[in-house]
Amino acid sequence: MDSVLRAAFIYFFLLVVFRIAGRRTLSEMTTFDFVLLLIIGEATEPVLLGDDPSVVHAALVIITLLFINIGMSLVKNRWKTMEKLMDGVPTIIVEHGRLMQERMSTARVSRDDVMEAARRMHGIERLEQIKYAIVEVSGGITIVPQAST
Amino acid sequence: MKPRHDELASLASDNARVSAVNRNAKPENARRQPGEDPRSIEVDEDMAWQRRTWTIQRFGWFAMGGLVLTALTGVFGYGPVSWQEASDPVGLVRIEYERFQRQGSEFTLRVDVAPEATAENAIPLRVSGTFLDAVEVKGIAPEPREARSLGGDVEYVFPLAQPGQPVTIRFALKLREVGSHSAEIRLSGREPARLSQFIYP
Repeated sequence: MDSVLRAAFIYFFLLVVFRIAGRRTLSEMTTFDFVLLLIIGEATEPVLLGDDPSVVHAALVIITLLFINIGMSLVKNRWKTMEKLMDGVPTIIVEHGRLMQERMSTARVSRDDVMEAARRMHGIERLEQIKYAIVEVSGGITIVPQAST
Repeated sequence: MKPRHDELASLASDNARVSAVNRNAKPENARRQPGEDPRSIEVDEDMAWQRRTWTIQRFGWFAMGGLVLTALTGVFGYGPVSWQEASDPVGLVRIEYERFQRQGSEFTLRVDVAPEATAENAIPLRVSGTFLDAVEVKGIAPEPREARSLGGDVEYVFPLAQPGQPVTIRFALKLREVGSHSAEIRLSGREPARLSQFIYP
């Protein structure tokens, strides 16, 4: 019982904390972000396993986490609001080559980030060539180039 | 078939300035701020929701910062707020303990006995049973000469090499029970020194 409750608590705790931290936090992963993620994993490990490193315990914890994750994906499929609550919604930040400054600053996206994504995905050189830039739910930036005339 | 037609129109349109009919037909447009063009791109955007999320996130950041600062004071264990002392009314027994602790952590409970109470060659120290239910005694320094049961309580008898000197007894404890518990520690036949601890899970 204990291991199931612990795993469930950690699952929802991490869900809430990472939602609060926001999606730009770990999406564009630098080396340091990656190290941070490893440390977070290290910090949760003893909570999940405690002083009982038995096979049954580990199996229980893993199955519990995966089961909750499957359950959550079903819930998200069924109720749109839950999906928005857990994953957030995409946000348009560039429209017809025009930066939407207020949205960008609140979403912690800079002009450089947009241009970098534009270069990487479409070889775009100037802002005017971008039709739309969208911060996706996953935290990445999607670029839709202007139709070439 | 009318909504379907509108959908197609909005999808097919490369131009952002779609017809006024379309503007009214698509429900997402109602949420749009004035001055913004209708979009040809099919993004499930919900700016009202997004703004609410951002606001909650800002509050969340402050809450996280507050939590970190609170943790530095020792409210969650090991810090200035947590380090406490207790003594009996006469001041013969003084206890240093931690007000806040976490389950499974180990700590040392320090009991100082004033010289007035150490005139004989042994001191009997009585620890309440409720406290011993909540903690596991890993060790006592110095070792008691004997430990005997007094109802639910336990009385430890410590031999003294130099009667008349102040005495310090250290209990190495491991916390097992979650929640708050209190303890009474006394020299047998005297008023107790009371301490209460809160154990986080």
